[in-house]
Amino acid sequence: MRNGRAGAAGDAVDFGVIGLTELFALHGGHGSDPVLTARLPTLTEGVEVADALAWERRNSYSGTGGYGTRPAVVIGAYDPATFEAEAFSSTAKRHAEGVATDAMPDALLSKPISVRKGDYIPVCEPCEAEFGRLRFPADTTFAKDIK
Amino acid sequence: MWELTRWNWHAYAEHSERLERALEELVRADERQVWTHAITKIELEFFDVGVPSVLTRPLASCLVSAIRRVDGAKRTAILSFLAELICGRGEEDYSQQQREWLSLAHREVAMGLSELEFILETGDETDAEMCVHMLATLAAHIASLGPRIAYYFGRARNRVPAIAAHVDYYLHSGKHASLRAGSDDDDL
Repeated sequence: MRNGRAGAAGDAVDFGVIGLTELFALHGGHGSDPVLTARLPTLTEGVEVADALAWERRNSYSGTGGYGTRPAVVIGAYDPATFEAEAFSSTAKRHAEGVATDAMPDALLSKPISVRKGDYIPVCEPCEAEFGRLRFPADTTFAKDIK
Repeated sequence: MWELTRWNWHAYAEHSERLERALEELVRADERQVWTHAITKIELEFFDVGVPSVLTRPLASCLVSAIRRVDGAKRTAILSFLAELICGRGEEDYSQQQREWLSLAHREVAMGLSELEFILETGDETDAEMCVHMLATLAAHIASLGPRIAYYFGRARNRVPAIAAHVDYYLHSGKHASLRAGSDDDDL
């Protein structure tokens, strides 16, 4: 399973896990020297890395292999304590939010992505009740608000 | 849409009038924002990201009826939603009850088989691909449809080469043996 680090002081990038170019692009392009970029990532940057990993996973499902084998939803999770970011998929029994927080209990979450739609979808009411709003980015849509 | 009134929605779910209204909105609306909102409402309030429920059957039936009345991006969105409902994502984890609900939905969609075949015959690549996924699912669950669907697959892979890989996947997948089960002419 591919994962990444959002970067930490003295250890900006876990090489070979997430590409430098990819990470610098996400961080607004700070140049090519990892030493110059060594700093604590903001929470927003961490979640952005998680979101990019979620999109990468979503796009990996576009090939052949049977429609029924694709998950419905993918999501990114970022743990600010460890700087780890990872993408998770929903299962028939658990929403992607639940799968992510089962694996990374203290993680912040990116906006959920519908694999089918190729777009962000609102957080459902049960997930909002279970995880709260503060785990999600500020511009997340919640199902409760769109009735 | 008559199909919408065929179902006693109140027998299926709480607040089912909202589902009925959203389906009406989906069929009637011309404005993209309105019908996408209707699909989102249905998905969020009444469906658990495609996992079968007691509502899967009536909804699948109404969506099949809807696709003949719409075209363009709206038809693509409805086909996509229908595929999500009936293709059994994560089926191995379903309960017996969920499998039964899914099976009932398959039977409803199978009654509108020619709608999907028509799109396979005339639709664009995106719509045709979704029909391939749905028809393969039907063939896997209703073996008697296999030869007929295999015939359409053969025609579709020539008409839309871009979907050939998907067609070939199903034709050679162990789960879809009925697609290799000969021809309907064998009954003559």
